Amino acid sequence: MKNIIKILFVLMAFTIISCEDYLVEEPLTTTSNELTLSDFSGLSASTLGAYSPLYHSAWYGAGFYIISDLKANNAKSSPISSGRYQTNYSWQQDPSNTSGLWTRAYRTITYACNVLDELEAFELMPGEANQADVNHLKAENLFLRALSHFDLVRLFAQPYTYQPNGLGVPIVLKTERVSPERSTVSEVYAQVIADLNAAKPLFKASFNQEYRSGLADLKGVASADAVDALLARVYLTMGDYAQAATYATNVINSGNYSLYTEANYGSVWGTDAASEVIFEIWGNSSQTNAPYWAEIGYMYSPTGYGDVCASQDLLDLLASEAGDVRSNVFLEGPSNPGYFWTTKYPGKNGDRRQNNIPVLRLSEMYLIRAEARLNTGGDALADLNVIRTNRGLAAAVTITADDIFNERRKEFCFEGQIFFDYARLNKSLVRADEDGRITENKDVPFPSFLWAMPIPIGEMEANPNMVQNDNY
Amino acid sequence: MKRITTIVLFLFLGMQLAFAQGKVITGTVTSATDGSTIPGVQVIVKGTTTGTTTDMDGIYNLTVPASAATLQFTFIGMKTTEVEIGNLTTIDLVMEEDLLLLDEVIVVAYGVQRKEANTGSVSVVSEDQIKSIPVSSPEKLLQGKMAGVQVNNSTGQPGGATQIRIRGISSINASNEPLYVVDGVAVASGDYSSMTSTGNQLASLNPNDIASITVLKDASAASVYGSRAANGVILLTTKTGKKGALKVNFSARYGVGDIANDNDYRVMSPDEIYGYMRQALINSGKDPLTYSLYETGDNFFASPTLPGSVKTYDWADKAMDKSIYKNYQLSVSGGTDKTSYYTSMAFTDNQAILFGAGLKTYSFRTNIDQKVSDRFKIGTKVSLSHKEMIDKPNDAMYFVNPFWASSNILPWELPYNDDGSYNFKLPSGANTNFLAADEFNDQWSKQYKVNGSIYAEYEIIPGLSFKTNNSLEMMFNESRRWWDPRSSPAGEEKGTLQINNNRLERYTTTNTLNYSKTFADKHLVRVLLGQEAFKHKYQTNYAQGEELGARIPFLSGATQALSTVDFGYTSYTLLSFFGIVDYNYEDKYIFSGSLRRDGNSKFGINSRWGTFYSLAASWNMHNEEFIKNYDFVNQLKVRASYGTNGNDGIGAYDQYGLYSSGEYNGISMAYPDEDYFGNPNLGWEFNTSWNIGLDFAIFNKVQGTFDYYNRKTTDMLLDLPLSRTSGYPSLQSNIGELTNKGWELNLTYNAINTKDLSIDIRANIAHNKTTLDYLGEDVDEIADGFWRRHRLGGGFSDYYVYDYAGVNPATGDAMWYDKDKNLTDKYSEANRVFQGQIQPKLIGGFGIDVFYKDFSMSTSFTWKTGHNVYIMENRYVQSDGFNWPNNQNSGLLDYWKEPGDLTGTPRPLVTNGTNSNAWGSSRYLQKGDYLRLKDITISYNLPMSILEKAKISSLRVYVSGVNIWTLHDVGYYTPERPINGGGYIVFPEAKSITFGVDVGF
Repeated sequence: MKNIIKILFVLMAFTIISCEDYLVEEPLTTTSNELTLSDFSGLSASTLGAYSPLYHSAWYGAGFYIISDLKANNAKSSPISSGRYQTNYSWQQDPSNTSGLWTRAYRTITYACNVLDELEAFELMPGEANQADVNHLKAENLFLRALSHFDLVRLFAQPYTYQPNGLGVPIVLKTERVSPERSTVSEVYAQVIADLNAAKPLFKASFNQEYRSGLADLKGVASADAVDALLARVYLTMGDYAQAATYATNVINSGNYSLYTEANYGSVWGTDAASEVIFEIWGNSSQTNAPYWAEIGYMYSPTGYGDVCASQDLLDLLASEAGDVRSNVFLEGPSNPGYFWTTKYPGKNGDRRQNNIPVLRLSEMYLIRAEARLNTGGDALADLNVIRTNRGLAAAVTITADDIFNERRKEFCFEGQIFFDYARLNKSLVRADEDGRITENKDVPFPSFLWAMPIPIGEMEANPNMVQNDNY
Repeated sequence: MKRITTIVLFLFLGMQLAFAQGKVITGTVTSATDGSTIPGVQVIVKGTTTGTTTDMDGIYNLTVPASAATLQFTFIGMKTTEVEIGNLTTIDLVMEEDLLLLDEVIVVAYGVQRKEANTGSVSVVSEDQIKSIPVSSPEKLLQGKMAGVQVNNSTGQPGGATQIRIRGISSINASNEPLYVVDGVAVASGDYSSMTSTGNQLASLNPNDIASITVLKDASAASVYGSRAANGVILLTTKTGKKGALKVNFSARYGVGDIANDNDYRVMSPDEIYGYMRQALINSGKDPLTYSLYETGDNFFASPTLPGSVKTYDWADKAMDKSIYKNYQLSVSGGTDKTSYYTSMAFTDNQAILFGAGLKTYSFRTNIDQKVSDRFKIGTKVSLSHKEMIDKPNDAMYFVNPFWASSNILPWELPYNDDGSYNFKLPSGANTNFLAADEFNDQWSKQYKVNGSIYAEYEIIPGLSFKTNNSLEMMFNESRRWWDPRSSPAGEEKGTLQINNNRLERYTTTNTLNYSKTFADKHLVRVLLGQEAFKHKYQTNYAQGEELGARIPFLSGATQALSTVDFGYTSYTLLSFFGIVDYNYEDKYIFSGSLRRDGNSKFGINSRWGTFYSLAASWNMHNEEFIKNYDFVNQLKVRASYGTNGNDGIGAYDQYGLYSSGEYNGISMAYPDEDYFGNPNLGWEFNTSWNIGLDFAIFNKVQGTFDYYNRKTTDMLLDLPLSRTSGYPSLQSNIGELTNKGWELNLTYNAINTKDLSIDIRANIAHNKTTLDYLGEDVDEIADGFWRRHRLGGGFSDYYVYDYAGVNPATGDAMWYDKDKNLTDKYSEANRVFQGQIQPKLIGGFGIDVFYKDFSMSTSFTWKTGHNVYIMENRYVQSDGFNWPNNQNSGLLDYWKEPGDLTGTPRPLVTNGTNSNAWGSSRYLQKGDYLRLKDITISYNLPMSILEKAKISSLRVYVSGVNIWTLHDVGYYTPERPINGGGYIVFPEAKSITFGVDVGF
């Protein structure tokens, strides 16, 4: 009898001892943060995962570029529009419709922070990889964090060149449940530059070949050159022309990229890792965060949704000088003669809903340096003419700030740059061609509260420390 | 049942056969009702453990000590009787029936309990109340039978899910369903189906194997189930064999049914829809003489009425079939002193009222108990079942859904071409022909299930016993959905196949030490200590192939590029330690307490363990001398309880921050799942409740139970919105609070009780109110879909609708109330208002049981009132022309016709653009009140004189009707909608009549 009781107690004791283990059930089809980030391959996969929000329809996948061109006179609502992007066209921005990029950019930031945080104290297991490989992951995440903060501060704050000490966006360096305050614009820029400077020496040239076999597009991931190119753009945006020129020169002199030619200009769009591209988003409809029907290519196609087409202003500018090959990347609507849609996003494998989206190109480096040299001294004209002569135009003999602005407009139309050119140059917007579709804010003076988008309502409600931009 | 009874009586009376010097008393015990002898009556010398039981002929023979003064006779269903011994040596007794069953033993948490000694709020239905009602799963039998137990058939499909709310809704984001315990083991419940529209794990239990169902409602009754008890517990007990000769029972049933449609909810007839559409043309300024419905110049509406030459087809008649129910049962049971057994098998074939759908079940059960020695007992309970559900797509507004298609397709669009082939030119049905889909497509699931348990019980010393019960539940399910190319118009030549193979495993071990002893004849103490471990594992293997040929419709023909596979996996574990202490002073004052500590893998590391308890007391006033003087009081008992329990009905991995795998730049990667931020503090929702109750019985006629309760949910899981700079939209956190308050009354009246005639009347009524007390800092409302909102201070998911004001008598157009309560014709100015609630204010049931000689009749009504239902699909079938050109519901026929008409139905317009049928309009929100004759059974037992000649021991024939009559005002077939609001195209219930015969050998 007593033995039975003893046995029972022993049995019970066993159960109690093993119970904490018994009560751990980890998921199989997903993995916990701790497990995912506990080894090199998990960190590497998570680093690649941090890129995925870039292709979202609110960011490079469509909205971020389309809104820029549509707001700033390169594009207009087309006759076949069913209303998509109409509010952006009229700058009708209110806190209820600006969460798209805010959410996705902070997602990339936190994805990157997850990895960076882990790397702070990460110890490699023997035989796993070496420190150079770990450094490369760190570099990529720093690049992504910088790019995200840069895009956020350009959208949700007044330009650095106008109010450097105005309210920027929250700087997030760690994934945690907090309610951060907005840093100033210049603090955000300082963080962007710090991240990029930290990233640059950490890249390992052979990393992708070693660890990412099967990667579709080597230019779809960050590189040291991409860091230089982004720094050139960041400094240009800040009006720091000397630094801009320095980093642009780094890229130009790297010899890793070559300009499109007159002959191939019409056919390079849609190809992987084209010669000018320094960093791009590799598009594929099977990819996580693929915008599918909302993708930029479908929105810019007269046989797709085609809500947005080229403005007559832009077409006229391109036509003002004969021979410009950049006039050739347009398609007249089959049912809408007189209206033209860009063919920079022609689709891949017969599917218009998947496209590579160029983020940084070599021609931008020349035009950044031209603008920088025009302001600080140097042969600006030579840089401008490198582009002009490559695009089927005669070399110019004089150069003005307007020449560069117009050249950028022709060169980067539908690549999401022009709105930020207006903003950093503090230039007022006047829109001539609009078919009566703009319901308000046809012309937007600078300065105006409209140059900063309102903080999304969800953020305002969830974050007690958040301060809204003026006039919203 | 009786077997359990016997064991318990042994336990409670602490009886042991003893031998002592004294005199011998003999006698016969008979029944006052019919004069027959009663075997198995406990006869003991009061205050001792000396006793015996009567034999097969009701005779006992007991040697009593010289000091013995009183004999006590006890038998279930009879009043306990005491007789002074004096000088008597023969004591014959006529026992009176105990109509109130105070000594009845009921199944409670981890054991059984005499009803009189119980402290908690429990409701019981026994076999007799449920035995002839044809249902597909046993929990459906509870509808209308218990106060405060709301049973909702969210679908009328055979084998479909049931929703049960015991004392209201306790949670917004976690489960609200009760825990189901079968023979002491918590079993899988709910819908594990794939490919079919609905499913119900409990449908693998044969309702005819059920001996009793107990519902544990308050903390005292349920809290010992700890983290799973927040929504109440339903205990199902299966039949066991009884000592005696072999008993064989065979029963056969056959039933037919039709859609239960008491309000004649129907699609318009050909003439009606023709006239209606023609009127729409005229209202819209179009000329019916020249209007082309199909091809240019067809002038379809030229004639004022539908020309007789136009062929029509009754789609609705085809979609809604007769239901046919066939059920055959065989059970064999019996027992000896040492062994008892019950074994049964059953086959059911239930063809549904939906064209082509049905359910077949095969079930087997064996329950065996073996007494190895006086102290050692073992037993096993095994059930096997196979279930085949043939389904048609009926849960969405697709045109392959026969319900939906037949509400929309115009009658002059015909299913067949002249050559007999299927016609796919059905513009009003999205060119989908559900008859073709029925012939060629597959949609089914086949389930194979085993529930098995083995127990052993050992009496260590008198009063102290150890019991271990170990069980396994295993379910395999294969399911298939096949879209055959021939079910679509020519040109779509390739078919798509989806298959899913699922497996569910659940293991439970329950080990208890039970001690009970009576001290000084007055103090009965019972202590139970227990430990339980549980593991749940569920996995799904899914595969899909596209562009398969019709000749070989299997995945073997699928190409890699066009196939998809998926794997799903969920597991969780539970580890528990618990105890129950009961103290009973002379059946007058009873105290009980329970304590349970649960560890559950679903919860975060910081809150994985939870402690739950209950305290309760009851006072049997009828056992006090000052009440005993009042003869008319048979029972008067007050109860009070207080306690806590928890709700673990959340996702298995909600506590984790999770990475999913995805693709970027052509290769696989990992990215955080935005629904899983990770919350190591994620814990249980707590439910704290108190209950006061009164049980009474008077004049040996009226018996009643009243309960008042208040249960509060705290730490309710809500999605706390986060700053998006965290990368996540929200975090599931334990922040909310809500309260359910209510009362329940249950009455039975034994109106007549004579040898030939007895009439019992039963009624129950309950009220519950749910109030949301806290939804987070500064949160007043949480949207729940488009037209419902959880509202601070309001109810659960209150309707928030556009305030429809009927029809402008001058114009025939819809009107709304605007913000200032003024009428407006503009939908854009319509105000949104909170209107009505999803939960009924009162629910109840009542019934009458009549026994006259060999005839009996029992009826059961169920009703609900004070709630609203939203008939969302009427937006399309009562669309005033919005769905053009489609057939419409006859509810529109009272449409506005000329100025001055007062009606709620606007005039029809071609492609109606007035928003009269807008989303979320109060026009489609209706009072959900109903009264339903849920079941009625009339039966006849053949008299013994005939039976003896036929050498059978019993023969009963009966007819049973289900949903025979319903009074309601809802614009749909059935007044019931899913219990949390919402739902559309609800599978209507069948109104059926079943004939049955039960033969016993």
